[in-house]
Amino acid sequence: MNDTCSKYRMSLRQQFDAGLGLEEVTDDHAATCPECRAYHEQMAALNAAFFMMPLEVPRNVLVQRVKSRLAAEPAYANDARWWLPAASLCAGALLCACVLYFAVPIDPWAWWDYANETSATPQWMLGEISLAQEIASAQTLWHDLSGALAPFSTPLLWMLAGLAALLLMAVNGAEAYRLRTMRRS
Amino acid sequence: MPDSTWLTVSSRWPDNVPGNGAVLRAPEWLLTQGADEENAVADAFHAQSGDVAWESECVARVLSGDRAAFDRLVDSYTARIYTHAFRMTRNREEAEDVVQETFLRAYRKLASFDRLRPFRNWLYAIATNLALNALRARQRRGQPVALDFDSDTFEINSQLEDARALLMRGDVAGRLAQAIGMLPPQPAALVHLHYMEGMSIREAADTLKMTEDAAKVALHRARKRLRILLGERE
Repeated sequence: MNDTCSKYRMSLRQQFDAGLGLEEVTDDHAATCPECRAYHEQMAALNAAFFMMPLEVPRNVLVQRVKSRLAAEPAYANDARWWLPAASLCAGALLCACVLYFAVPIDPWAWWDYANETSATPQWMLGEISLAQEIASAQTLWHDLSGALAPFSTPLLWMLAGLAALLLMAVNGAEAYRLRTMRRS
Repeated sequence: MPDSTWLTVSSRWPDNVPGNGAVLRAPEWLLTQGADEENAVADAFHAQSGDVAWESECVARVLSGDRAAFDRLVDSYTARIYTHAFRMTRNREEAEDVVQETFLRAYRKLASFDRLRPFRNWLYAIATNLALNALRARQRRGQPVALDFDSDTFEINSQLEDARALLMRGDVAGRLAQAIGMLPPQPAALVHLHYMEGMSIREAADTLKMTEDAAKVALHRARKRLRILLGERE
């Protein structure tokens, strides 16, 4: 076997490992080298045999055994409380807002008025007329909205919202605990 | 009751998909219990072709509480996982235990399964771990097991001549199955995953916790041995 034979056989093996059909491998070398042609035929026969090889057949009782064992496992919750993570996130945000409301002794909307003062507006922004107009219209809209919301912004409502948030987080925690104990058992 | 009560449905196998009817079967007991043959065959097709979308859909349905979806996965993969476990353990009882434990573990850990990856590969990885554990347990009981080839040489001695004489009986596929049974566990499993399951060498090596280079060498040696066992010399 010379170098050409080695290279030819190596290419055959690469084809074989790549799952490609060996019939497509045509090389002048195989036509002139009977040993390599025999090698090619043997590899092709092996490839075809792999292709036809049957699976080991398990006993029929195996599938039933597996299924009956699986039946003893708890099913995954089909009442997937998909809204719980999102609700929990909202509750967390609301709770933070409540804490801030009571902890910071200023009107919650005061920051907006503060930010609207001319001195707080960057000079480069004032130079852009169209942008300034956009900002002005946004400010008007925001003032209208905050004016409409102002009557609802009372300490009692904020406290109620905080309590609701705590309740929601407790429900979420209980559900997480239930799932964890179910999987452990 | 004979074990080989699996129906072959080769006529349904599409020409453009690797594999063929010899390995596409619907379990007869499933059909006799009223299961829809079309569905059973379709599931077998999905399993054979490693259809990630189908697997992912089944997993999603199981996680939303549909237990029957996991049963479909069990129906489709039992024979495949069993073949893999049997190739590694060479023992029917141990292979059956491996199959049962594989599906149990998969079910319990299903919530943590990454659905973008092939379910089949994950299942094989679990089965491989369990089969290796079974082999280690066997070693602890004083039964030595060589996981891989001891050396690159494979002398044709009298014992092998007997094995070859035995292999000359039966059809080519049956002879090859017997010859694979004479390989060490890891190369035998590698041959099954790569040639029968259509995994790439990298995927098969990952599943068996080998490096890609080691898998290539093992495959080369396995082919060499198979050709010798089947009566063809290098």
